[in-house]
Amino acid sequence: MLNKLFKYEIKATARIFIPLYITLIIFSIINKIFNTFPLESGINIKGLFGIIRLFIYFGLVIGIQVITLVVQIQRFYKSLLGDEGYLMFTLPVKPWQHILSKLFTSMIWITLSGLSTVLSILIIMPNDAFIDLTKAIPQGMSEVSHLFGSGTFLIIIEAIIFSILCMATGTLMIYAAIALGHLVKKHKILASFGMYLGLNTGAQSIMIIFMIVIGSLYLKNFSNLSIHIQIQTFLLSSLAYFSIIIAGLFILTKYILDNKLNLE
Amino acid sequence: MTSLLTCRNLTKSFGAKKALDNISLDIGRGKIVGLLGPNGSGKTTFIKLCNNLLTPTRGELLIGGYRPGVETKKIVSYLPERTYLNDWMKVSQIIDFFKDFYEDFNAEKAYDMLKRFNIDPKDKLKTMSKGTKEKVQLILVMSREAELYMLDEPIGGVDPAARDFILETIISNYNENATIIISTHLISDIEKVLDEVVFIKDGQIVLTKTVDEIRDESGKSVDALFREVFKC
Repeated sequence: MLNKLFKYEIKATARIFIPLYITLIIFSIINKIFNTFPLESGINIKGLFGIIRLFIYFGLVIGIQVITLVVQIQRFYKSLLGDEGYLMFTLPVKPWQHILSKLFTSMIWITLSGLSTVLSILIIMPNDAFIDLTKAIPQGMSEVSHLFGSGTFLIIIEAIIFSILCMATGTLMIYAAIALGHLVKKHKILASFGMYLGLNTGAQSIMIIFMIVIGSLYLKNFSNLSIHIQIQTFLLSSLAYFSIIIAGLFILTKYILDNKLNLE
Repeated sequence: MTSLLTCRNLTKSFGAKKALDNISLDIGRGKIVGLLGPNGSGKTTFIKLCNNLLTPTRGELLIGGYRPGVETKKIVSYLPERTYLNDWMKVSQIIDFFKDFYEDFNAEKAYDMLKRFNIDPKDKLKTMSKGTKEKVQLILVMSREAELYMLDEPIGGVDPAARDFILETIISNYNENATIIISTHLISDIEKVLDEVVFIKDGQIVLTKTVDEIRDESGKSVDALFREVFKC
């Protein structure tokens, strides 16, 4: 059932994101063409064109990030706790399956929104800058592997897991805030904002405690450790921290949807 | 006979207000039951509790031997009093959606009913009128071969001419072992199809009888009895 929910969640959101990504990429290509072959007409018109293009481009890039966030909120709030919830919650599936299907979908779009922006920057970049970049990346990579030696692969894997857990934490915090806000009788949306601030503060407090504990264990000789160990310490403790927060937020959201669901 | 739906001392409070107050009820198989009461009497609350959209404050509720959850959702087909259709699917897509999630969904039946209601499966849900959306929902709900149908105000939003057609659709699309619970305050329209009635007032059950009992004992129609019981 989880894969079916996931399939429909992707369908429901792809119709928003795919056209946006295509628009961004096409617009980047158009920009690139205009930049490579500048118009030879009057300076004013050319300049004006350039400014408009720039505005549209930045509008698109920022718009995609904003829409990613809005869709993330809306797909949880509207499709589960709004009128559509009457259908979603009478399907023979468990609430945790709803949460996971929405979480995975959300994380995919956050990733793709980021990647499409990076791709558009690569397209729009002046050619010489692009060539510089193609040289700089392998150089950077070799420096990294020189620094970490055989541990490089592990560090990269950990960094990827780190970003995945980051996304999951952000998304689940929104879900938990909306679910908590739903418990309040009036002004549910306002309450959700308040809950988000509360959860965020809570998570940060836990992080501070975490840092104090880790710090007191390692602080005395932290600077004497190799950079490899320092980064490993940072990454592993972050992974532990995020895992705890994710588990807490997931259990909280699941508990509310399981036991406190009150669709009005 | 084992009953299909049982509730004991079921109570649901919203803050200080009791929407359902200590209700106990048994509903058997193979019946059409009218859940009748004025607005705000607790009909919708009861149906929502049965569908796990609300959680009871107190008491027990069993459908087919299970508490509301995944197992009951497999056997209960629910028509809410509002539109739950999303705004991005076509009719054919929502049929696929139902087919995917409900094992008892009969797509052939759904397409057949769409044809009779003159609804194009290629139409988008978003652009439909409220009445058409209600018809699509009814078709989806009645195309399941469920054990229990719970229809909350199924004829509330359509014109009187369409009501008979809808009632006919409801009766002709359920099997002998299934039970239908219809909540409404438009009693005269549905009276002729009912086997049993449950009168509900201020969150309490005031009467449960078969329609035959009502006619034999009081010589009144359900509608007339309702007007008497709920006299303002």
